[in-house]
Amino acid sequence: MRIQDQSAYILHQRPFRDNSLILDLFTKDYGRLTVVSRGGAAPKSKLKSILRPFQLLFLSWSGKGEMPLLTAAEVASLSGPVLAGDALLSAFYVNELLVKLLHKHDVHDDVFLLYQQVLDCLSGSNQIEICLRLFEKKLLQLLGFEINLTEDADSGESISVEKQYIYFLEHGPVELSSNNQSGNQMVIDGSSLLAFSQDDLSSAHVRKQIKILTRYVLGHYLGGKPLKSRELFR
Amino acid sequence: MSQSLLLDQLIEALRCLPGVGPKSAQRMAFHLLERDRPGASRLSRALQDAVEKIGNCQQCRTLSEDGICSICVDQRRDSASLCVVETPVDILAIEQATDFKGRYFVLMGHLSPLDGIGPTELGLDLFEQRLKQGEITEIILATNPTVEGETTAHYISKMAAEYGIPATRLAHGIPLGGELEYIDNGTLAHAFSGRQKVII
Repeated sequence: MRIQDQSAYILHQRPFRDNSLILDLFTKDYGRLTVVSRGGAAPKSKLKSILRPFQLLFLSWSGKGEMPLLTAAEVASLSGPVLAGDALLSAFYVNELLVKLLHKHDVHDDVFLLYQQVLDCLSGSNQIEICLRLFEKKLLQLLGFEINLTEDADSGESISVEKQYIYFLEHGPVELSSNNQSGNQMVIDGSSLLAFSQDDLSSAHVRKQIKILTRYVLGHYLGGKPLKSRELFR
Repeated sequence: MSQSLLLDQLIEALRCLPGVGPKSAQRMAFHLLERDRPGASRLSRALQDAVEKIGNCQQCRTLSEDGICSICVDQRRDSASLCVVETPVDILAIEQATDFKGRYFVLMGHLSPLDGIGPTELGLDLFEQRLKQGEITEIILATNPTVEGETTAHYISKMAAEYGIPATRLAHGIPLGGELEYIDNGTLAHAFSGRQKVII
């Protein structure tokens, strides 16, 4: 199989043999896949400045099996998002989420678009936290694990600003009452749920609660595996 | 192909070296046994000694056979400025190319969450202890200009900021004798934005 000029991002790369690299790619039309770049890590390789994460590339590869061979690589745009500082740390977190949540060879062109959006958002603003929360929300939605933010999962009633809710995994928010209260539950304000449903994260209180919520829900779909990139945030 | 078990073992063992495939490993093994047996014994002794005796410096983590390496022990060096590098080879490169007289800290890698390498794996707790001692007044971040290297530099500069220590980063630029036409876009963009005033 020979693929030409496919839009792709490098999610992760690691050295392979002497001068080669194994690249974990996220591509527009073929989902996540792994290719080998022969000679990509050689001391004088021209590919080194091209094969960088967080940069949109046009990649060509050929070959059957688990690891096709990279045949050509080009930078797609000269003025891509420039990530630095905390935005860069956050982008590693985004990559780790994708590597752990997307299965290889599953095509997700909608997630690809979302990935481009979050990189743009991270590079362009100082609202890193908001970029990440909205990314997490939409990612879960696109993968079919949408967080229910508008309806009580038991009664079917609309979420009320005045009430508090317990969020149950794979079920949704249920109104907090004396019957269902216990120690280790994910309790959240109705107002926070509603604000997040409208992508409104302007209040610090809402951001704090939603951060705990998305972490709780993502943790479930990650199968309890800890995310290493969280250690980067001091 | 097996002539002797020991010979096969030797060939297999030599393949752990970078750049050595089955054919070169075979050539090396035959060369050592046929032509240079004293050399082979010397090599095996040197390897054995090195593996047993060389550890990491307790202060800077570079490879050293003493508890504290020669650079950290040297009183003439300036303990106020600390240069952070990824590998011990980088120390060698900087020592040869510059007149830096401070001390070093070797990370033995860079932050790479997907490889399971976080701050603890890089010995940054040890690094933080050195910051706490209060001797250091400048940190030079000499990690590689890769995405991981930049991330590592950023992380360390934030640590330094907590202790009020200024951190500097190596400049990106056009190599000496290079031609603009052939330089990759990223480097040129960095060099352009980091341009300096001409000293007259």
